[in-house]
Amino acid sequence: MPSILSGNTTPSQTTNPASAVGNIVNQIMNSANPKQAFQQMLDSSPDCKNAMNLINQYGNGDPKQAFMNYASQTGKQGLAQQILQKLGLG
Amino acid sequence: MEMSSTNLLWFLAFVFLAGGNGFGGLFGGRAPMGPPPASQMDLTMGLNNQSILNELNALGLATQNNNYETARLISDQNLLMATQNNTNQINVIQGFNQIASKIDALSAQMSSCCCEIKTQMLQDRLADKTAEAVALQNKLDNRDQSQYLLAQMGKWIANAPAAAA
Repeated sequence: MPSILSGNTTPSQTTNPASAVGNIVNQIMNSANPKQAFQQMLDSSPDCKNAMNLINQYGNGDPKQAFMNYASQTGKQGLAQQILQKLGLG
Repeated sequence: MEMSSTNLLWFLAFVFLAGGNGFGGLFGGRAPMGPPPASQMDLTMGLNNQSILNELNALGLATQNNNYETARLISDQNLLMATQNNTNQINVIQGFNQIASKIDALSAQMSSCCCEIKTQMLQDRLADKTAEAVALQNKLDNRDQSQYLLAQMGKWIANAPAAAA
């Protein structure tokens, strides 16, 4: 089974977003060293690394606050609402 | 950022929101031989397809609920029919029992009537025999009386009594 952190999974249109994200969270939190696993994800994904920088910029390190601020300041409220709904955060 | 499940969830949500043209190590690989990363359009299409899947799942669940409800109603109906059949059988048995009781009563009544008829017949025969006996007795009395009178007349012819003064 390919590891999400290894970066060789393929996007699937039938994947449940909430389940996929939940699996990533579980893999990181259940790993022997969650901080190291998270850093590994940042190192292996430029988008994740860029997101981390944006979170510091828009939410002062708070991802939830950054999500809200980024959505409102970039005009992506619709997409944000859709993502929240699909991920069960709405 | 503090490491927690909630913060990780919001972090990944932020990656979805700000991912731009690709989602690197999240869903698509960046290895040279690997598949291309998912684009924003791919993600949107996936979310839309997921909406359809969710509706299909809801429809499937509703169908299952309907099937369950139908099976439950059939089961309840079968139970009602079985109960009704049981009640009908009890009523039939009770009806037979009532008929059997009436047959027993009728049998006893017929037996009583038969006894009364036989008794009455014997009484009638006894009355007849009694009447015959009385008639025979009368006849015998008449004969005895006739014999006595004849005997007296014979005495009178041979030795007539003196006339009263």
